[in-house]
Amino acid sequence: MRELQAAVLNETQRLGASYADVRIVTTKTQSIGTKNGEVEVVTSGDECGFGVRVLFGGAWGFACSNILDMNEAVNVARTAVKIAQASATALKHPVRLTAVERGEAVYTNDYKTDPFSIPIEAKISLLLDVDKLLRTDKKIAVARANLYCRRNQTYFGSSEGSHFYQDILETGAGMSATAVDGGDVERRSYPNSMGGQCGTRGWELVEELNMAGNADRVRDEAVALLTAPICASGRTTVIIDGTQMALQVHESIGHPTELDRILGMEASFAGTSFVNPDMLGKFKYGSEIVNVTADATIPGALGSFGFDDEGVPAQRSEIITAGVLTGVLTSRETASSIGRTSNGAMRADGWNRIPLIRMTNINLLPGDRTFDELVADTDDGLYLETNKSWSIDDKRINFQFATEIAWEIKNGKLGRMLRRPNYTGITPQFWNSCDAICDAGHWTVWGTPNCGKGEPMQIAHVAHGAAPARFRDVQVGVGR
Amino acid sequence: MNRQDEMEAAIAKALAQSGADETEILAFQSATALTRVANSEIHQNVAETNSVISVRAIFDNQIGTASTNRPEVDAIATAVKTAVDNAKVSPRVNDWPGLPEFPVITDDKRAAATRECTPGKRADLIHEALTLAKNNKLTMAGALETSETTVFIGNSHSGVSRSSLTDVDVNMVLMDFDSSGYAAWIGRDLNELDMTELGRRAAGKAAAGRRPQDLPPGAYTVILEPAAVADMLSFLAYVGLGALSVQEKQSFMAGHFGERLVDEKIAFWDDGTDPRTQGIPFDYEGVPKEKVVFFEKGVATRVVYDTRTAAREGGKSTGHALPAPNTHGPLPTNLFLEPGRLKLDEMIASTANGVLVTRFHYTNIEEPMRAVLTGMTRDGTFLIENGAVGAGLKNLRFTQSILDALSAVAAVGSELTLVNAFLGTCCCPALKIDNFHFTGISDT
Repeated sequence: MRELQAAVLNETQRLGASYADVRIVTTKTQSIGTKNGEVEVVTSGDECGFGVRVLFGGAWGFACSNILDMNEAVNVARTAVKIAQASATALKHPVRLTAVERGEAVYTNDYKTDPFSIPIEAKISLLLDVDKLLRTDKKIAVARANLYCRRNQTYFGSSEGSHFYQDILETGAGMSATAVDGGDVERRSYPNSMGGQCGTRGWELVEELNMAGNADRVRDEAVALLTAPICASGRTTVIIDGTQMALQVHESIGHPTELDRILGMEASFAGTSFVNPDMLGKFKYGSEIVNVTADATIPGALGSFGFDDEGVPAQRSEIITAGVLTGVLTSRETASSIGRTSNGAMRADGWNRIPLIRMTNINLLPGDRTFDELVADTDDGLYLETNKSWSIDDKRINFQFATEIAWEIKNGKLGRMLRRPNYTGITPQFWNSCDAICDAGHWTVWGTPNCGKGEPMQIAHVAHGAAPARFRDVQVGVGR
Repeated sequence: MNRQDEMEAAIAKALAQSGADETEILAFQSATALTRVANSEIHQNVAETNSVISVRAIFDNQIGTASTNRPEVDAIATAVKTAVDNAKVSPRVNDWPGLPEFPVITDDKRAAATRECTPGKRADLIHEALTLAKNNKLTMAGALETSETTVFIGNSHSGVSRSSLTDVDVNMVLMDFDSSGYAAWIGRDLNELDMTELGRRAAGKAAAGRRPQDLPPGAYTVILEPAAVADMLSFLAYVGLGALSVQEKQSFMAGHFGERLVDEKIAFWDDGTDPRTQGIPFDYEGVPKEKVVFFEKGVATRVVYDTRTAAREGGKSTGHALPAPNTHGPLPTNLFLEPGRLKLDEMIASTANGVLVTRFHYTNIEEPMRAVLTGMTRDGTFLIENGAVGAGLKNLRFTQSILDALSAVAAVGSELTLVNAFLGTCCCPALKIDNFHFTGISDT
């Protein structure tokens, strides 16, 4: 690996690049899924390649290849420089990188049991046991259970003399039951929708989920939803569960505080942000109990790592402090525009993509209430669980989410189940209406393995620590 | 031997040596380059060379899959062995119909100008749009992508088919401080790209949208330009026009074939063989693509099938399989909506009060059975007053059943545009729709 890196860096230096880095990445995956008593997916993947990023004349170029040999290394280095030279013809602001400490390091995440060491037969058996429990009611038309594991190894080297090796292991699992009756379809998922829970952990994550122990409830709720009343339209108090709060944080805090979006770098595709740098230290993003961090150092969380993909060490930084916007996600290129250094948020979706500013673990810090206290303290409202649909505008200000299920809250008690709940809001108004957050005992870091951004598209593995939280005067039942 | 011949030979050799009852190998060889603009400068500029080889092995009705991106013969053989190993530990499936036999097809739709495009040529094209943006005192963001791809599919019962194609995909947003305009183009041949014309369209929208006004939520007559129509139709296809969703009774089509579900002005189909679209002539099981009509005069007629969903109904695949393994079943990726008689200007002239929508953003599905979607407008939303385009509007949120919207079609545009949609491509005209529900507004 070092020889290939040296070949790339020598060639880019010879051609006059002012900076270059090379990432050699190998990825091993395994994915298993069952559906209605059969194995739907048993697949294994192996992928490798290298990507070269260069600065020439203050402009970026990037080229990459799946062929790992010395000739290809030199050719790809030359292509990257040619591309940067073309970029330089339409350059207004030459790139300046903030300083990063040069070094050599190794990072490997902790885990108890390597999920690749568990026999595939045992994994299938676990999922089929869950599947069987989910299908004991005839109204369940589709039962699904799934798990995956992934090992990502990155060898990074830069012209500044930094070298690191990073080995990250991920595991994830989940299940869902879809009930059908006539023209009605309702689904419940556990522990989360979109594939379940995932993290930089080992097989212990799957064991702790206890999917079989939750299958009866998931099945029964899916069936009960078929005959539940439809959530009515109106403005009310909502308590949002931790899994949905994770996505609420993702869409309405995580993305709008990416500095590349703020600076217009994603304007044509993902969009920009209602946030601007002048708001730092002033803008009241949320109520005083809203505290949000970007923390890539949380053990086991999906957005944790040792170094980002331009060699900046993982960090914990404040994004919102007592309701005020105090930080944004930055890179070495963008941080200088706000007079800061990178907080280590440049991440690439593999060897064939450039690093972009991505979320790490963006966390709504816990409050001081138990869930029971929160419900008891709510006269009238809804408790919303498990994301079903998400949408937000290109400036990240007008959002609308649907959840799989809602429960009425009347006089401090959970009441009837309701189906097809949704809610909408305006980002700062919504976060300023937050008047209670559950405590650390209800707080979980939820993995989000499907965050899309960039052209060509990149999928990032990020996470969000969240607990149930309460919001006042929220519009629900949109479109009724 | 060139790269394509080497890959075809490697696939044929791996199939012959597999040892499984049935083996399928799907491979992609690609070279892609993309130049990205923001704040009127090139800020990202990338090129990728890659191969992806996926293997499906069947052993006594046990199925396993594996993939690699290493094109060497040894690496493909290892992937075959892994797929076989995965199959051997997987329980038998009950209704496996076998891999399909297909006629071997060799297809080449590559355009030289696209294949030979250099970073310098992409930069020159970007400069054309940048100049236009500068002359109009607008800021440009966008991307220009060129790619060359060869798709190979082979299995134990047939030979190896292959299809080579080139693609050009351009999008741009030209922005003022309170408005923006969008234009996009896809095609095979870079020589057909007119960046200046795209820039003019985007600039016109940005200029017309300055000082945007509020519009209260409510039901309005809308004219959706092709990008917005394609987004809507693509989601409709995703939620309900594949056989698996019908068989599992999770599609709005289930139990309603032969009924009129949308306005009689709507004829909607998928046809990967139509030269006006982009794509390969066979699906990811090797089966030649067929034209499948979903709605004829508004009446629900048919959905698309792959080999397994077709066998469940005693039929044949329509050539709409996705790469294995997939959990969605077959899906249509070359959509067409039949054009009507009115040009966009005539549709606007026929509208006393309404909203003109350039495109939607971040659309998502709230209720699949009624095809209820929500999303936002962006980069060019305008009031229509007395038959003319009026003031720009702040972006609006819609929450709308697409089946209801297609039941309220007042007019279908006469001009087809090929759009890169959520699900493949969609070749469609503008639509005028009554009673379209906007449920919110963006503050910016």
